[in-house]
Amino acid sequence: MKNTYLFLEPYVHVSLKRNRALLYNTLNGKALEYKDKPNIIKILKRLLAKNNLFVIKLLKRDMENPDILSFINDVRVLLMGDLLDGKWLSKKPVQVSPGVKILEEISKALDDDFTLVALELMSNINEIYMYINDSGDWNFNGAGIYRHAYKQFPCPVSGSGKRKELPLEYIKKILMESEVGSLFKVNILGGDIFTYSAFNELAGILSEKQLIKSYHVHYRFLENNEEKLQQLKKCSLSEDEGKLKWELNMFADFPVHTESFHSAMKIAGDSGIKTIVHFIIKSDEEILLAEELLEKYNILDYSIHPFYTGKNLGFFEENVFLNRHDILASHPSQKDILSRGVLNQTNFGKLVVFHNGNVHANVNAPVLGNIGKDSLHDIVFKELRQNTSWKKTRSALEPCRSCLLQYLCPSPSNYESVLGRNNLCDYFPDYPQPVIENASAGSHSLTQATV
Amino acid sequence: MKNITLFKTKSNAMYCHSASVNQFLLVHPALNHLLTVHKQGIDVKEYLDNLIEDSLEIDDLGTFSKKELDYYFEKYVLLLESGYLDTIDTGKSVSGRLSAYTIKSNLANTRQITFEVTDSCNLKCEYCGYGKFYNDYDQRVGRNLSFKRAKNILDYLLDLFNSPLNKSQGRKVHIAFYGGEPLMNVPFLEKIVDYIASLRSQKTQFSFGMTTNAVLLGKYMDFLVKNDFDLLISLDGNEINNGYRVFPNGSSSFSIIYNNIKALQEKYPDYFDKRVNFNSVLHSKNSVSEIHEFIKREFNKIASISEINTGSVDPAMKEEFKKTYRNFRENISQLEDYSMIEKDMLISFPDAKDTTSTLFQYSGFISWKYDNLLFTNENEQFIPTGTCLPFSKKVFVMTNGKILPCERIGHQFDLAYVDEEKVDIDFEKIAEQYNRYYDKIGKQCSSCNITENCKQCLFYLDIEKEKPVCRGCMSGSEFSDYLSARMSYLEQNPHLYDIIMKRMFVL
Repeated sequence: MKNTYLFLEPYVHVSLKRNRALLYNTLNGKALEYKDKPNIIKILKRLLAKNNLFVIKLLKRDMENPDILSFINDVRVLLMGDLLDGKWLSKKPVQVSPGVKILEEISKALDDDFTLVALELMSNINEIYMYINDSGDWNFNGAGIYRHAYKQFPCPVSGSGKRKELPLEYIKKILMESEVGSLFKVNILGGDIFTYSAFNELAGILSEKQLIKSYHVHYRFLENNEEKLQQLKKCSLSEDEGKLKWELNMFADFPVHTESFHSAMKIAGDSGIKTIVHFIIKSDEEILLAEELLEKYNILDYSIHPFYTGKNLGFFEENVFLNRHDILASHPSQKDILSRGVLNQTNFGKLVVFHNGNVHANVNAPVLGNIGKDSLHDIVFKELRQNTSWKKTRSALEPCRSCLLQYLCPSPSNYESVLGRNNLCDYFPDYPQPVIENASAGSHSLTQATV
Repeated sequence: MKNITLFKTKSNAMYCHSASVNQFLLVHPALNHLLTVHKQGIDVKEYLDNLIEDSLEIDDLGTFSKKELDYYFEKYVLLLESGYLDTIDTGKSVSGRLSAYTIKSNLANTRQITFEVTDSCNLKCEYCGYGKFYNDYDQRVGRNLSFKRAKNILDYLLDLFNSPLNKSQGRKVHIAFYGGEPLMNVPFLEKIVDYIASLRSQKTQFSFGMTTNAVLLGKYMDFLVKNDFDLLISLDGNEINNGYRVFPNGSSSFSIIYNNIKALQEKYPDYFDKRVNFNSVLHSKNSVSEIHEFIKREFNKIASISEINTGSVDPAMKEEFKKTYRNFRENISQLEDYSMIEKDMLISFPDAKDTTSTLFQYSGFISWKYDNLLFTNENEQFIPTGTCLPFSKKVFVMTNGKILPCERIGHQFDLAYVDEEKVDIDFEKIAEQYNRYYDKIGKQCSSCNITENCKQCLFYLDIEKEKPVCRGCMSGSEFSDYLSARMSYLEQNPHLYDIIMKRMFVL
């Protein structure tokens, strides 16, 4: 019998779970799924075998098996693979098949008990969130959600009222120690950041940095702070474009105080600083309200943040949870899929510093150290050793580890933490989930943080 | 400019490498044909529409019907729309240049400090880098490196290692001792080892290593073992093979060296197992198989085999040099079966090494760091040539105080200086020097097809000439041949891919 080779394309992602298989074409988003087809599962296992490199020689029995013939046809039609006539080939060809290899892999080093390793640790930090204070006049309707919202997405936090501040020296230390790395963005949050006692000095320091400076404020705090906004702009007199990257992130929840919001939009617009409006949404009705404001003010840069109150699971199931169609329609790239198997795409490289100096890899993760006494080196090394957040993938989580769409799904987010479940999808409806009474509070409440 | 490279392996399989996506694709002959048409600048759809016949014969690979061609056209369109056939500007990509900050940062993160302990040697090897064949080294005057100079540079570097410029945590910096023959200056070694033991650095730990001809190994092995030195012994095989490694009076050094090594092996078997390796030079008195068999049989080690350095050979000695020189690949190809050597040497076998570095650079699945997975640098700039960035790998300190980026380049390329009083490093000046070299060679690099995987060191290029020439510069067809050789090797050794993906790390 002449040799015929079957191969898969390197841009195809294959997921095998017991009696089920998924092939996903990362270029066109097409997917093939098989269940209880043992012959196809066997063929796929052969293709994935380590020395076959995505290419196998078809046997006589393969070519006589209707399931396999059907599989080959499916694969060809969806441009996921092909057949090669072996008559002109003197050797089995290869396909450099997808995988991920990190040459400076710390877990490998730790497995081999390399307690002392040469790693460019600081190149792993790319973004820092600094909660510089927790003060501010939060005496308005709706301020309550800001006690907990920061645990679901980065946003200002309404504090204890004790007026704690992150010392400027700590901020300088963070900036200095992260300079050698890959840090490209700094987020400044509060409280009301405009009440920070060294606000002008901070603005001046940041203006010298080749970073994106992203300020986060509640819209109510823009009123009476026009000068401070202008201060931000004035600080940046440099002609160096790299130093001119400012962003203002303005948060609003519903019901919005119309006059204040209007005033805030005007102030932000007049400042000339790029402004992104963030709407915190708890229900379908609020989506409509947000849309009205988007249209009214012609807002082009915006973000919608669903907020879990503990009582709006239905809203989340409707608007946040993903189904198979949603996951496939998001069309993750090959790089996305491969990287989600290795690291948490949302959290990797980010640090959160609270006003008491405590540093976390994620707001919902345990503290790694305190910038007042620990170096960023030590903190980053600790995170890479202990993995409180940066490399949390779906590889070890149930039910995700049994799911074919495991890495097509986005990496686990803060919503999973707050909802107390590993999957935000309807793929495993019967998978047992805990009942959460007060999901919006968690174990790392900023307002309970000790200094 | 570069887009796709089409090539065929020895087995006749056809492949395509996409420069824009940085990925290899195994391709069907019909798809290969369409990609070839595309590469010629012809509109593929028009080409197919204009086919008169209902089928097309492609070389000797068969006749393909219109229906089949339509299928492959669909695949071609998918690749086109996914960016696989996009062109990248190679000229723009080699426009990277160095800054003083980068060089200082490299120094703060360097992995090795090599001390030329002495320029004295108790042998007079025929092919020595400081011998008759070469003319780019400072005269050997029997000088030892002073402890003060070494201490000065160590203190300077330690400040950098403890500074925020050091990106790492708990790094091990390797202190390598070189010569001449380092064991001719043991008092210096003892002082340095004691001094380093007295240093306290939270961020850095030190390890020691030495390249030695083993003539004095018998006398000093206790010291080496006590301080856990990594030992690289130079030995070219059996007595005949070792025939170029002679004493100044011309007599053979083999029996003394062999007996010393055996004594070490007997007295300290665990240390020998963990810390001792062999470096052998291939030349006209030995062969790859002889070296390999001897070292393996006698010492149960796999020798690292290198060719005699062909860079900076004195033109007056070229003919004599050629008689001494032997090429690894040519030598291996004369064997009927070298599979055992290949298996033992694994990644250090030249073809395996080249295929590994090709996969590193061109498969798209191998990243140096985690953030390569998160971000794509579309404007990534390469520095011309494959020259190590100054001090990124090591710092070489000579007996006369010159500081170079490496011990393998001519001594005229010193970058800095240390004396009994101070360390003199001008980072701006070093950056200017390198950037001047890059500017000279950069034009040639901008038309080269292998810039991302270049292995050429600019210091071997007559770089001080007004128009230096790199003979490794690759045209499109040469790059195609290069990839063909690498992929042919992978077809013969598919297990290599798993080894690379699971076992290779850079730490």
